[in-house]
Amino acid sequence: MCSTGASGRQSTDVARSEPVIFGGLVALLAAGALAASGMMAARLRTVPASASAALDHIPQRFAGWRAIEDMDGTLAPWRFDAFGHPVEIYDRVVSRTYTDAAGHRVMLMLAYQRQQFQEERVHSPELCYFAQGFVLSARRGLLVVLPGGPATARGFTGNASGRREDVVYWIRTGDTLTSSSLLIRLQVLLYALRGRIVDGLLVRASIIAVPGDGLDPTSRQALLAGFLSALTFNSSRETRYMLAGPQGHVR
Amino acid sequence: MIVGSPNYNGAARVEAEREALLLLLGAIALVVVPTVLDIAATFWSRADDTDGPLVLAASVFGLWRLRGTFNWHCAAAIRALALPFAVLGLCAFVIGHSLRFYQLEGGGAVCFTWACLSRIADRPVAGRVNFLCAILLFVVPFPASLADALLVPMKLMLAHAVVTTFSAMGFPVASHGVLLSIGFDQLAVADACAGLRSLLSLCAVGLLFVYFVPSRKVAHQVVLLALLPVIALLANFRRVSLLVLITYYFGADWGESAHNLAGYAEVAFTVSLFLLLHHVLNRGIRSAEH
Repeated sequence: MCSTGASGRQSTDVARSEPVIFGGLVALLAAGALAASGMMAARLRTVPASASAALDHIPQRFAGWRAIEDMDGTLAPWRFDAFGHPVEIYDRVVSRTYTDAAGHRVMLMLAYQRQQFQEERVHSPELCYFAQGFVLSARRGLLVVLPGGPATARGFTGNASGRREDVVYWIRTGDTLTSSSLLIRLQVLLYALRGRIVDGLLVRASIIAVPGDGLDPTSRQALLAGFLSALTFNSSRETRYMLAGPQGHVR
Repeated sequence: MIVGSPNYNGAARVEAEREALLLLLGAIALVVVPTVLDIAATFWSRADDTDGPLVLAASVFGLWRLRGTFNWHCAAAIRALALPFAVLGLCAFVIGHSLRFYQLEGGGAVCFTWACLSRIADRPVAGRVNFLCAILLFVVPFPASLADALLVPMKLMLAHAVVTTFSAMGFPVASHGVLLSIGFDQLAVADACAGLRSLLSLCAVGLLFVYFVPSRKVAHQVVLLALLPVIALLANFRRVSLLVLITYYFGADWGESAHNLAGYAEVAFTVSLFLLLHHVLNRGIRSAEH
């Protein structure tokens, strides 16, 4: 009786302390986690607000192209709240129409966002066109020659009630050029884990098909790729970096 | 009281377990409150996401109702696994909370909550805790890029259906993708991503209904669950139609203020459809028994 009483007492002590240990440990860990996340967030470095000044110096004339219409600050927005009001998600937008000697009219759209997070990122134009009722075709990756060497951009054709528009774009996320949402998500995470909240820029050129221009989607997209390449080559050093990151510089 | 008497031991143990329980609840609050604040600030402020808070409130209420059954006698496997899962959840929470990665933050917070509550839920209660924690996952926002890919086609279909119905009735309605024009006013069929969230949270509402209004027959519940997506889509169609009518008759400003209301009405509509179905199915069972 005596011995079982002693061991019984011991086991109730253990049973009594186990919940307290578990509860205490979990509470301590939770407090630690909250503190750690606060410290991690405080350690994040962002791009200075002055960086977007590079977008003031997008050349007006280059390689046979000249700007004919400036719609700076306005943007064909693709995100709306429920009442068709555009949702401002970009810090800076450059929107311009250029023309060349042959009469082609290319629309350039640069959309800049200084801080990239998982749910607040530069969005791919494919979705934008799709959500506005365009049917997408001729989607492909194409090579664009940049000062740092060839890079991959994406092209597609959008069709909506008689309007036919070809688009070529890339998205710069920090120092990398990508066009896939998933890869951008991954890049944003990898940069952030290393303490960097990077900026993002959508570089997009598009051209509306005009009857009798004698161009097919492939040659229209090649024209756009050439336009973006020439734009980058003819920009200042800061602007080249803004457009294409390290790919904007000769290695 | 004499030290060492069984009574004292019992009372002390009850006291210690109560303290442990309070510590545990405090730990859950430390993680869940910042997560909810983050999600609320980013997503619930948008007019389109009115269902998240409702789903959260309903699952918290469900867990609150279980409070009397909590004790420290959980299954042995859970006893061993609770701490590792709590740590796993906390790791995800730390990354998600600091880097504004809301899916990681929310998933981590739910995982942590589940681990803590499972430790104090014995066998009969464990199933309920699992279910309610799974419902909590519906409160975590769906990643926008995935939602867009799944949802935009569905939204386009919905916009098309609304336009076809209303123009057949002679209303000046047209659609450009997810944008509807009603006369001179424009209405987007919800933000491209918020809509799937509302579809998903309507499914959560349905699951909660099956939880709170249990039925004796399994087949009955299966029918209800199978009809979930259909009812969610119907509720969405009704919501957009209502907004089109309000915008047409009273203008866009009225439509705007009616929008939140329409969101809550959507949940009410879903629940009433469920109640109706529940009633009809129960009748069917009863008449079959007679």
